[in-house]
Amino acid sequence: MAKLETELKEWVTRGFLTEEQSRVIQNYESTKTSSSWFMSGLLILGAVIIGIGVISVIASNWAQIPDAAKLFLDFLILAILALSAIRAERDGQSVVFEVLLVSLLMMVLASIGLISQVYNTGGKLHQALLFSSFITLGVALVSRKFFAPFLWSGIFMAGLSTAGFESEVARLFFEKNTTAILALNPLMAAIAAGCLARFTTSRGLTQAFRWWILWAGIAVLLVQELDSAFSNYYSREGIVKVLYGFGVLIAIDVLTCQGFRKIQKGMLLAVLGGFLIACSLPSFGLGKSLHHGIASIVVLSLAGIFLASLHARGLFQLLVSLVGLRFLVLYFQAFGGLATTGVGLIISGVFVIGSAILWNKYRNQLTVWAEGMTR
Amino acid sequence: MKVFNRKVAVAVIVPILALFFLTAYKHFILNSGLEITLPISGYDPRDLLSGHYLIYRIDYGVENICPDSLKSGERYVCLTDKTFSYVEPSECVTYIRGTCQYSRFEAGIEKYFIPEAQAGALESEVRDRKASIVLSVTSSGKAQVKELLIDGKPWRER
Repeated sequence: MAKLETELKEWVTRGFLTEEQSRVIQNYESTKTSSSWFMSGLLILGAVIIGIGVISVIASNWAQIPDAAKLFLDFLILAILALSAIRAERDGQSVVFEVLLVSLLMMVLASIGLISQVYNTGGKLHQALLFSSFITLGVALVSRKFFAPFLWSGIFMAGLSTAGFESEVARLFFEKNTTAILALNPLMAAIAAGCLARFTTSRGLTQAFRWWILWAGIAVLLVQELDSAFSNYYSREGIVKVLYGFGVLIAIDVLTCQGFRKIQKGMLLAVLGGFLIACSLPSFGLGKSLHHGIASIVVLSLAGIFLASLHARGLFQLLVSLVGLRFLVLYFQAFGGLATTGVGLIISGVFVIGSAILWNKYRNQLTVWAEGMTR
Repeated sequence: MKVFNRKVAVAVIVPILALFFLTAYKHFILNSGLEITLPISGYDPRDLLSGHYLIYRIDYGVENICPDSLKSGERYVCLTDKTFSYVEPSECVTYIRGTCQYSRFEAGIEKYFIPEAQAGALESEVRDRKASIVLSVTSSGKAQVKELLIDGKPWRER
């Protein structure tokens, strides 16, 4: 509110607004309730913390309570949450409904832990996570906000990732190669988002998976760079085949998708191709840190232009910033020897300041240019 | 009068029903199978979801168990004649169904959950003394842990 008042004063001084208009805006803003996303965020954060607390209580194995009582209490809480959610939805209490859905998701996880504890089941973590996401898919689909789908997709993706380490079948392909298993994350999220967009009306879950594509993709590029820098990365034909297999499925989805223009589809396929090549550089004999750096820059730039075509300006600018940062690191990688000398440090400093000034000056033009590219 | 949304009702009730059936299924195996006691040895890691548990190796008394770890699929240990097989044994009265993981036979019965406060003490007792587990094994080879024994007595009564 203080920021708005300052801005209104400035706009009045510059003649953009009259005193009267400024007062009307101020009155309107002051009568608005505090932003609902902030309120929902806090409530959901509280629900998640309580959920983690319940899991911790169960994890500490409350020995004093008989198993039957623990199970009864658990099912009672689940039933109360479910009935309250049905009631909240009926009464149009959207925030309460969302909080109850998030609580139910957490409680289902805690219940699987409890059943596992009471009956001493020897199940693995990925089985618990995937079973939980399988039985709660409906909960994520009926949600009207982002939080429950986001939590659900997180549980699902964590289940798939841990399955990559634990399951017998995945072990044959990945041999517990962390980088390869991580590389599958954005690809699987892309397939999930594509299927959801095609076969359901759930915008929340589709959005959650799209969120995963972007952030998991950035994380994979970063991990691969670190891996190549520390020489831990190795490529296996089996892994590359799986990644490219997933890539083909995504490409088919992109090509047959109705929601994008031709140029956007081309841009998406270029991002996909760039990402797959970045994941399999050692197969082409290009596993050095410098090669990974160049691949990251290309993939992030292409992704940035695609996001600009969707008018996602914030994300576009974030990716451009990452590209700039990576360029800077690339400079130090390429001219590391020079950078250690006095002259090198001066040049590096000028480069950093110049980049910052150029970015600040041409940020908006760059965004408009990128948005225009895909028109 | 406001009516509730059926889709929402189904979405929130399905997970509860699924968990209920899972509990009922586990309870059924525990109470309907044949009771068998097998010796164990083990250690105590930490589980993300379910707190402290003992992980142990079960001594099935079978020679040459899981000789080929690369082949995937179900494996069987016959407790009657102490043999290992790749196909479901038709002649065996009591057998356990499982898989081979890194040359070890696993049947989902290699964990026993214990209270956090007693985890350390129990772990050393399992290591130093004679420990065994009581299993409930169904006619289809599904096994579930019933009790942990230390020197032949339930761990709570030791």
